[in-house]
Amino acid sequence: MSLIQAHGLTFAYPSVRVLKDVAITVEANESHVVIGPNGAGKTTLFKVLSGEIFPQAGSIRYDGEDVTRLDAWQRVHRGIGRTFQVARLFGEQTVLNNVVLALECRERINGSSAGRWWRLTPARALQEEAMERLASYGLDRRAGDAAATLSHGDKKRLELLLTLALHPKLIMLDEPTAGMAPEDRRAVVALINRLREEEGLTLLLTEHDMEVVFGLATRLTVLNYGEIIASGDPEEVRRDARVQEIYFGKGGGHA
Amino acid sequence: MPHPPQSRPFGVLTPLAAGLVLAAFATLPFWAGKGLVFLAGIVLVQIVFALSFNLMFGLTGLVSFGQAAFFAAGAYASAWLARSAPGLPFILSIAFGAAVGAALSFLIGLVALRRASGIYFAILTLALGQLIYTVIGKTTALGREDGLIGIARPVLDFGLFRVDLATGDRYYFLLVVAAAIISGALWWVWHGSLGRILAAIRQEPERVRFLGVDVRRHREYAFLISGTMTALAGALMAPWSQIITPMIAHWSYSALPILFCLLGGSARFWGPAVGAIVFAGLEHGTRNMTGMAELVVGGALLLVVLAMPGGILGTLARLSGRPAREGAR
Repeated sequence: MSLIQAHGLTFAYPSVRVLKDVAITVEANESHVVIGPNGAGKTTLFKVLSGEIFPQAGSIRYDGEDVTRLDAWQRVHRGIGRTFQVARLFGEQTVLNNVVLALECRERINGSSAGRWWRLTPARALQEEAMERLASYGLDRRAGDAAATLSHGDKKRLELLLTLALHPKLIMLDEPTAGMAPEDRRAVVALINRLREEEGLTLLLTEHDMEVVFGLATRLTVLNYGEIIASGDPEEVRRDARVQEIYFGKGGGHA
Repeated sequence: MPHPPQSRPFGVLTPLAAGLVLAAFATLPFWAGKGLVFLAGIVLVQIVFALSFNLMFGLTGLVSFGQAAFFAAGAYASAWLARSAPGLPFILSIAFGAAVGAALSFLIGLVALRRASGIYFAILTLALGQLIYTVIGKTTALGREDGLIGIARPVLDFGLFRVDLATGDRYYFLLVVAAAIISGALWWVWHGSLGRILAAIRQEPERVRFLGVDVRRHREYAFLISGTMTALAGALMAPWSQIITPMIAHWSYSALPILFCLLGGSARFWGPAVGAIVFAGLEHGTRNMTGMAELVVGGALLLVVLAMPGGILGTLARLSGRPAREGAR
């Protein structure tokens, strides 16, 4: 079953066309990685698919529904989550309160009274759930610290935790391992694989690190100057002559 | 199972200080002269004005330069109704002022929040505010440039007995009670679930959007609540000053709450109240220094803004080792 079916996506800034007639399909429970040189349009494609910006042409279907004109927050209600290249958190708030806020938002979406405006303090159950979620990511010891004081890797993990707190079906991760040390990268790969295999999540990612890409991709799409030049099984795409030439360079292997 | 760390109590210092200030205001007529009581009444109104403004400014992160329009809308609407229909209960004219402020802030919010970011929003609110100022100054029913004079202090009719607020300091006591109630309501919004969302929108709107929240709608809520409460402050002031002129709609009047917020500290709920009181104290203390007053007040403000980022409350908290976190505000 296709979770996302997008056709003819076109997006242009006044001076440059960033996406040219892009078609992309994301199957349920796959780990779909989009790669491409800097400026290929990966982040713009993410923005269009998540509803952060609207394409000038083209259509996006999600789970059988046309979501082309739905804003990001409405797509979140339908089960799409997103993280950013540079983690976006509530820096002044404690780590715990970041998670509690996400849980309150989930309760709002579900229409439960635990997320209503008159509540002076968050429901006790939500605070305990937040602690459990933090503990399962090894962040519980930082629960009382301001989120701004976390390390780069911990910030990215916390952002992923916030996204997962809403029980999404599809999560879009924009360079989940950017700026991380090798051992942290391997941990992220293991975590993402576990989310897909055990929790049945569907993932759409961009990534630069080839070890990460081939460690978790079940499907690989290559974007170059706003056009998709190859898409399919990661090993087949790796052997594709155009991909070899444009992306991997003559030596192959690393970008 | 892990337990959440004990959420810090709100502390005893803040409620204690708030209680002391409230007591000082409530007992003022018994130990201070008439002039000071009048000034204190104005300060109470300005506290409500500034606290309302800060819900949008310090909490949600929207810098508006047109807040005076709502203050004037509340003051003019309630005064106009009270003059046109003298028999009407006081509460109705106050409610009418708030309702007009609500309608106006809904409309202005709808237009101005199309561009929520920085300078566009500031200029849009400034322009729309000046439009209201011009309209008031050219409307005959609102007294044009002369404003409305001789606004009567009302008589409260409780059925069994009547309280004439024109006698003695009764209207002042009404102001104390009203300011306390409105401040309490605003405190609740600031610290409640809606307040947490608004604070999150200030810090990282894109993250809030991707938590499934309609950010634009919530900014409109903040703008609407802020505008309505500001109009309520204006409606309360009209019978106290008994004269209102278009100057209360002027952009320079919009600068007042911004000043109070920066002076007292916009990151904390009570910051603008501290700012309003300190500013009034400065003005009152320098009122006899002919020609020097503005210099002293301006110099003191410059000192606070430059040397005390986070305002008076922010600096006090830093000195006592309690940095700004939402639990401590």
